[in-house]
Amino acid sequence: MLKQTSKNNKGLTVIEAIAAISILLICVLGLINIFPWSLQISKSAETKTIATNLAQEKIEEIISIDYTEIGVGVIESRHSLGTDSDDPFYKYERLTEATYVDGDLEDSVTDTGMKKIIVTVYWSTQLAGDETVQMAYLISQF
Amino acid sequence: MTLIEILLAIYIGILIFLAVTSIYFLGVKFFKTGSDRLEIVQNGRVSLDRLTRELRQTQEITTFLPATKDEPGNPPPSEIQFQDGHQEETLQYFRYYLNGAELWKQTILYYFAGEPDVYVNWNAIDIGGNPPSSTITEKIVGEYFSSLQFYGETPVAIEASLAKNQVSTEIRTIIYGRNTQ
Repeated sequence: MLKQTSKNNKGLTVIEAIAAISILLICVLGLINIFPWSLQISKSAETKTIATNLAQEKIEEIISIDYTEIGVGVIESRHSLGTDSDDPFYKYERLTEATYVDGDLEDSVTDTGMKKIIVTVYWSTQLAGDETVQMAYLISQF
Repeated sequence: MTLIEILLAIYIGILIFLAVTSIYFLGVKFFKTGSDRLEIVQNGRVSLDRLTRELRQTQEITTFLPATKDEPGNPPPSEIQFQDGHQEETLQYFRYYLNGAELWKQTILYYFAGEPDVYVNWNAIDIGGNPPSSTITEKIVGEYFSSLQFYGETPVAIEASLAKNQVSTEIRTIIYGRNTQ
């Protein structure tokens, strides 16, 4: 009772099968790349947390000294925060600058009784290359 | 279909199945490493946030801290006790310490047996020269710590290392007590 409805009964050719498998393979290989990428994202988030705390660290140090003792310009030149390459903070570098600011928080040439401290932490990650985090803090004389 | 074709199909099927399962387990492994890292970073960040918030307000740190991290014969302690600076009504102290890999926080109230409702300083003595009694309540703040160090008189430096399975992290900050005498 079965009746041949089509003359095309050859099934898949080897060429078709190879094409299908290679397309699958390319998709899968593309997918595998996502895994290390996701690790780099979490690593990047970790470095940002650490860098933020290292920036806060410098601000706290400056708050602890008297207003008049805080210099203007580059207070601390950019330097590594670790003693040697084994130090976990070696790859972070920090620059600290200070300027006089006026009532509108604009930079001022003369001392108006208020200083703005800017701390920048530099580091680099595999994912994003060079990264920075910057924190600013105002200190008044009175 | 010939037998050869069926065998070939099964063979290719097995290869694809093996590839897919190995990718799946690779994904699970990477996910685990990523979530372990997020967990230790989060524990470090939250613990440091709490410590800095409370140390910022404190009037007095009662734990003796070395001036630097590597002072000879005087290693930095892994615990710190200080007065609660957020409360003015109740005189109480906080003590953060490592219990194995966990960071715990104690709330300590000092009093003399004669007047249990009057809270006194940690170093107070009664007429007989005896130290005060204390009631302690405690709770856990963080986990996965492998080390915790406090040093520097004021400002105080806090340095922590955390590890879980194959991942580890180090975090450091400094806090200046606004009310510390």
